[in-house]
Amino acid sequence: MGVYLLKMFSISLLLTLLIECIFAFVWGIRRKKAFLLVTLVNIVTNPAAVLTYWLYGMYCGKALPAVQMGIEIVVVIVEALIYRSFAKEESFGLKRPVWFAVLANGLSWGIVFFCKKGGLL
Amino acid sequence: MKKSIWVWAVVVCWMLCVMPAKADAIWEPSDNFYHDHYEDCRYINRNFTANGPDGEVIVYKSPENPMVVTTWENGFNAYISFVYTDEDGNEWGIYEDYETNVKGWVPMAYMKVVYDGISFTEEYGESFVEDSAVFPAEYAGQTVYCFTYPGSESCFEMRMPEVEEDMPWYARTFTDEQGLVWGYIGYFRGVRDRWVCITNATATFEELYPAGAPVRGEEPEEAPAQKTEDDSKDEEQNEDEERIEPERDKGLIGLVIVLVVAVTGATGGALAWLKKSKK
Repeated sequence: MGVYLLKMFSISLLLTLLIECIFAFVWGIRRKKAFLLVTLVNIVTNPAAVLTYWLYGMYCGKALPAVQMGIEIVVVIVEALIYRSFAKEESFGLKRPVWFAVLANGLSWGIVFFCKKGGLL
Repeated sequence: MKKSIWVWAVVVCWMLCVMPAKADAIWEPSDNFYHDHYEDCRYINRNFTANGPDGEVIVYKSPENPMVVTTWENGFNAYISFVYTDEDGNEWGIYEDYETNVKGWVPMAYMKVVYDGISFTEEYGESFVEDSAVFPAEYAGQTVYCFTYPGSESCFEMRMPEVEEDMPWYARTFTDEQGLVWGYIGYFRGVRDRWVCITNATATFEELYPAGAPVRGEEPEEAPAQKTEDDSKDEEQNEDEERIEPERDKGLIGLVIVLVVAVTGATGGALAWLKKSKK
């Protein structure tokens, strides 16, 4: 069980970091500080989101996509708020922080969802 | 020199690719829990029918994770490849559907085995005759039927070798209720654990049993007896009995919560520091 949990948390976080950092580059982010921000924001939200969903499955039974979607919406709101507060500082070079949070999370969630559906994860 | 090494490497790789496999491979489930516990899993390779309490069997993520993958109504037919026994002695079977990518674990106490060759051996093993011999030469080059067990409708065709010397051996025989003699093939050219009717190997199921096959695996009906007080108590106890489900490791869950809260808190602190350091 311990090994499974370690795999679950680490794969989920690493995959999210990889996808969102690549997306950040495509978004036009070039500064190291901004990449550090993206990394820290995801370390704040991803394990907490994975834990919430896992606990829901553990105690409420069925894994519902609606619950997963609800958690993801909360994650997007939290990330958008953090990015917006940092976007005020020009040194981060983060433009349209809310859209960045929405699209980055949508992309990573979509990729992980289809990977799982296809049996790749 | 380098070029020749590469050529030889390609040739060796090609030779390895075309080498025939000598052993039968067992398809292993692509499941995290199975991979972490494969040494504790037992290969059973049998079909089962769902037969759980309240008319259903719940399929869980793993024997240690009570997340529900799906629910089967009683009567659902499932192939179980491996079985894992937990600390409480409960057996869990892994189910995997490659088409829908549904996989999970079910308590084997709620699964009833579909009558097969193993069941047949368990039921009639005592009447088997250890009589090893080659199949009669009259079947050389003929298409014969290989049955799961004598009386089973499940069969496939097999072409016997043209040469008598290559004919398969049977390890034991069984004479059924109609006097038909059957030979058991343990393994022959990919055919495993099958029965061929020596008396008439080219006959189909309908030709062998025009009036229907002998009934196998049915428990004798017991005469209905009056319920005693003890029986009623037993029934009440069974109703109160909790459904077998994966046990939650509360210590581990607590540890995971503490770790995630710690990581989230520490990273939140790092974010606050990053924001302050800018100002």
